[in-house]
Amino acid sequence: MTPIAPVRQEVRVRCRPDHAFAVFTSRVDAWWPPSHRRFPASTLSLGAGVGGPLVETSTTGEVHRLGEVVRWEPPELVCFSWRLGAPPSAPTLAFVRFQAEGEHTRVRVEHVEGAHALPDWAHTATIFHRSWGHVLAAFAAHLQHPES
Amino acid sequence: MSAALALDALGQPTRREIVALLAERPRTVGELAGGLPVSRPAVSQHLRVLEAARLVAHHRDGTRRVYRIDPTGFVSARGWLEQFWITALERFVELAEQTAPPEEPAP
Repeated sequence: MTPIAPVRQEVRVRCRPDHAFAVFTSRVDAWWPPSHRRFPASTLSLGAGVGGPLVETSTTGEVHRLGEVVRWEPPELVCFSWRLGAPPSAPTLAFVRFQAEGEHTRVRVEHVEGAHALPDWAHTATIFHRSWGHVLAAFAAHLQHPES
Repeated sequence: MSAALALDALGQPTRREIVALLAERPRTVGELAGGLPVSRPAVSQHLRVLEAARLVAHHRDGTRRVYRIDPTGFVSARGWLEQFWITALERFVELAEQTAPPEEPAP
């Protein structure tokens, strides 16, 4: 299978890394796109610290657990799993890094297939090849099969 | 939209199994059915869905159909995930800049 690159996105934001980290984590509900939620007008939260849950709560109190924090290193890195639809042993992982650049902070996201996503990203990248099926399956199950 | 088709197709566990098997190497319908707890007609039906989403493709080898991964569907679905992060990060930047505390002198 032709290798397909992991998803990488980055932005520069005019604030310090500690503020960027705090907004990204504690105010996840305010930036997470409404188009990518299971429930309308839901609330999202990300628990602080390793093991902190990433959960979406509907207006009627239904809870949808998307994943959990696996690395919590403020203000430089947060990594959370995204396990819906993926095998329990291999959730997908989103690494989010915050790096000071003068008056700005560079925020870099790398969304990778979990089984290979060891802490060393460079290693992960070199062996990343045919796992997009699982990554995408996670998203597919999340969005297309909300009852699962 | 092919990304939606691909995401929908991958939302089903057996189809993900088929994709995983084909990611190892191309296989015939019979080989796929042998490795899965579903009937051969069921495998064929799943393959039709996957092929419509351009996640798999096949060629004929004599009387056999040999299936393989087609990257087309994966690339479009990947674009969809990428769009999630583009939108999310745009919203994040706006919020972070709006709420940034006044700049303090560097330590």
